Amino acid sequence: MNVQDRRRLLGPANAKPLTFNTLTTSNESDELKKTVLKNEALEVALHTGFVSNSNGSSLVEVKDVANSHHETSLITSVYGPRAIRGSFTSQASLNIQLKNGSLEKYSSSQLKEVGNFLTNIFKSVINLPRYAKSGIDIFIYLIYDKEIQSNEKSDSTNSITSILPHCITGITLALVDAGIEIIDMAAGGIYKGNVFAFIKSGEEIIGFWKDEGNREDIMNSIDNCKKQYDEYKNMMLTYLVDKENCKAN
Amino acid sequence: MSLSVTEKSYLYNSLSSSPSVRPDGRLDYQFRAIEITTDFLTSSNGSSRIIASDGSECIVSIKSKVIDHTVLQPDDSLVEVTLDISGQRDDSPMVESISSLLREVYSKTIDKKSLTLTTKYSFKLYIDVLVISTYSNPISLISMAIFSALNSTYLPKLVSSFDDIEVEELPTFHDYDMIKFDVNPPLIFLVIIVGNNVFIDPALNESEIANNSLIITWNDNKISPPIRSLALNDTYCEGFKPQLLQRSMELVEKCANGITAMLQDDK
Amino acid sequence: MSDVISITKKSGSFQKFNWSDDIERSLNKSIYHKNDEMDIDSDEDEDEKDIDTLTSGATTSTNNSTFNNQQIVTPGELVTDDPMWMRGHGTYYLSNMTYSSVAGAVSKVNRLLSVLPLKARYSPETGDHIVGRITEVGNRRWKVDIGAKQHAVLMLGSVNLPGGILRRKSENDELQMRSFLKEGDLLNAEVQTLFQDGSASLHTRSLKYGKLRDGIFLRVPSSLIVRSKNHTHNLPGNVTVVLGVNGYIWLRKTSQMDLTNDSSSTNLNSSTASSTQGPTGSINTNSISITRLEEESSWRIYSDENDKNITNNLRKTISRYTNVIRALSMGEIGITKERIVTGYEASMAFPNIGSLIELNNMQTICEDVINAEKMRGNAI
Repeated sequence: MNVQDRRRLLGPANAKPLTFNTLTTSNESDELKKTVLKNEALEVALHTGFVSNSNGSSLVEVKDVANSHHETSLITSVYGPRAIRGSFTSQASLNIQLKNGSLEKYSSSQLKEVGNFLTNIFKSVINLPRYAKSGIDIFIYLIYDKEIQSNEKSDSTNSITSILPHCITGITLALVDAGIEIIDMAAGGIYKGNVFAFIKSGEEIIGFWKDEGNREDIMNSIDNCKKQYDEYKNMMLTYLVDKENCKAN
Repeated sequence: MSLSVTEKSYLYNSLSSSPSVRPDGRLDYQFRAIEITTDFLTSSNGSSRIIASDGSECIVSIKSKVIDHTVLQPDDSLVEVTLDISGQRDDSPMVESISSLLREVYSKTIDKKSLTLTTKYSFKLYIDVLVISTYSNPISLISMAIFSALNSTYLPKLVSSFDDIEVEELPTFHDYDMIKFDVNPPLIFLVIIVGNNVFIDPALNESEIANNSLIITWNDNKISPPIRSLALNDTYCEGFKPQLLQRSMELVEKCANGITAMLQDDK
Repeated sequence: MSDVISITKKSGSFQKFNWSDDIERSLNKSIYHKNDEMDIDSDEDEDEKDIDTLTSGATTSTNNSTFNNQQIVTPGELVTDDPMWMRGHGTYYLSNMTYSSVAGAVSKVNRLLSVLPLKARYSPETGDHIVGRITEVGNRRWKVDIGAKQHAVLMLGSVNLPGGILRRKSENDELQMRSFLKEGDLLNAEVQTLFQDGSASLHTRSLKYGKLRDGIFLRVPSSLIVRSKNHTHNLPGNVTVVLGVNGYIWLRKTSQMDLTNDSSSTNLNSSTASSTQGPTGSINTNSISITRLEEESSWRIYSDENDKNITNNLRKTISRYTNVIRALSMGEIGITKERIVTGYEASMAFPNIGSLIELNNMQTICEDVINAEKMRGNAI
């Protein structure tokens, strides 16, 4: 360690290398991370409130064999509502951005398009007029995303479509964690390349995205997506109720 | 531009009432008048300039280049679309979303075979879109401009042999003769949802009060992906009933053939 | 022509002009509205003889007769080499020669020579009735977009404040300015004064000015609106139009107030014509206007609520008027109440209001309006 390196300015010769204390993992957060569902087709783990510098955060880990054929893990963090510069706005401005994780899988314009799409969805979910003169920024970090090789012929070529429902779940949870007013819990489902996002127990569509397949699939996949919406919504609700109970105890 | 509260509520009530009244009296499936000039750029293979009645204007130029398609990656496309909207930064959400969508639409729908020259070489098309001025979402206008430009595109006529696997030769072209590029390009429509009504080709003031909107692609005489929902404003965003998705698609089916015919019609 | 879309197609280089067609049409267009302004000028100031126009020697166009001896000049063109003229707007001066700096008609009033541009931004003048849109709420003032080169200013002190009859502004009012008028709100107002730099200061200290409701907005080039005594007109079909001098137009459902304004002015006329009506009538109208003053200057003048019952038919009528005004603007015909009404009647030939957005139909309406004026004998 104390080998003289002439190319760099080093500290005194008797300097000791820097050491950190061993991290004590907090048990609390481990308890809160919940595997809410586990079966052969779908495996979901949810966790909120762990990014300490943000106002709200969530981790969504999904292994979905049945519908999206993807194994995805993403962190969502919500910053805001916070003051914005510039002229007066009568309601909050919303901004959602996606970031590639370790694997540079998606092009930046694809991520921007998806971010824009998600912004559009959440414009009708968040009660924006409650937050005048402020901005809400949401960042989604795609930690891990892998296609599950299935026996059937895979119908998804553009895999960014299949992470959309998980992004919606992640944002909804993070918004709840941040205590930002939302009209309803939003969630979505994917079926044959059609992504639907719903609110109000599936009566209202707030977002629709389709990159492949044909016209006939669209109306047929609504029911299927609605089922997934119910599933995800229930998972989020059970998780949130459990978390509150944990805190209460 | 922001509208006043009273303007918005007047427009919203007009459009959501039954029967609906559009501010310019159009029918729900009626487009605004447009003016198209084709073949005005002598240096490109095809070009068009489109002007909508609200003053939105868009120029499209199509250029071609011979490339060796055997070295292409599977994801690489023979069509490249670049988009420039004046007054908007290239990394603004609107420009990024529209160009990503255009890339998705045109790289998938234009048949690779129609661009193949020989067993080794192909044309690569560069579609350059410049939106000179725009007031509402320009996606529909852009697709009509690209449609007209592709329909007026002429590519050089090949005079060398088609099979050049054995003989190593570069393709050579006829000095004057050009061949009309045979293609049936897709169109992209924008439908807004207001209350229980759906309307095609929204003007700016209609976009400002839309509850939601859908981008619907029309290719090969049928609705095809990509289809997206899109929020055109911040204040009136709401969910919509599934029937309205069906109704929007029916609306597009109702008018798309008419539009295609009008655009193709050489008069 | 399909009813889905109307497409005009051209091919080849667009720099190529079709002289015989395009130029002639655009020249003709410009004549229609320029003459209007001339007419008004001559109405307003009596010294008509002073408005002198140069004889057009330079122009070689075939339809010289239609110019009414008006000279049209382009930027850089020599207007006169006579040093006796005072140089007004739209001209510049180089070694005793006066050149034009805009494209437009030469106007000579007494010794003042100026060039009125065919098309330019609106330049406010004191007393103009304008329609504007709030762009910014500032310190005791609003910034208003009136389509001029600078935003106009509306001071808190120049609006009617809610709560009783005219009162002084208080600190409380300063704090709740956004509850009176906020960004995006449309209002009609009068230009009170002009600042040194040419920007306008507005006021709404009259019941005919203030926030606009129950209708839709459209804008036309300001050169098409002719300055006149009255800019609010009640049109057939229960529609009222506010023609802002700046080219901003508001079409709305005729309100009770529009009707009383109209009837009081007609009453005035009729009372001078027939004095048999007696004094009771006039007292009556007076008492109405006093109660109205108190009523209207309450918070309601800043309400964002539209009239609850605007029927579907009325909305259709408003859409039809919108399209008629757009057609007149497309044909570059000066917009007056009479022409809107004639155009509206002509548009009845098209039962589908949506078909009025097509170029051919717009032209038909314009031709009908011009023909109707020729028939009546006040052709231009």
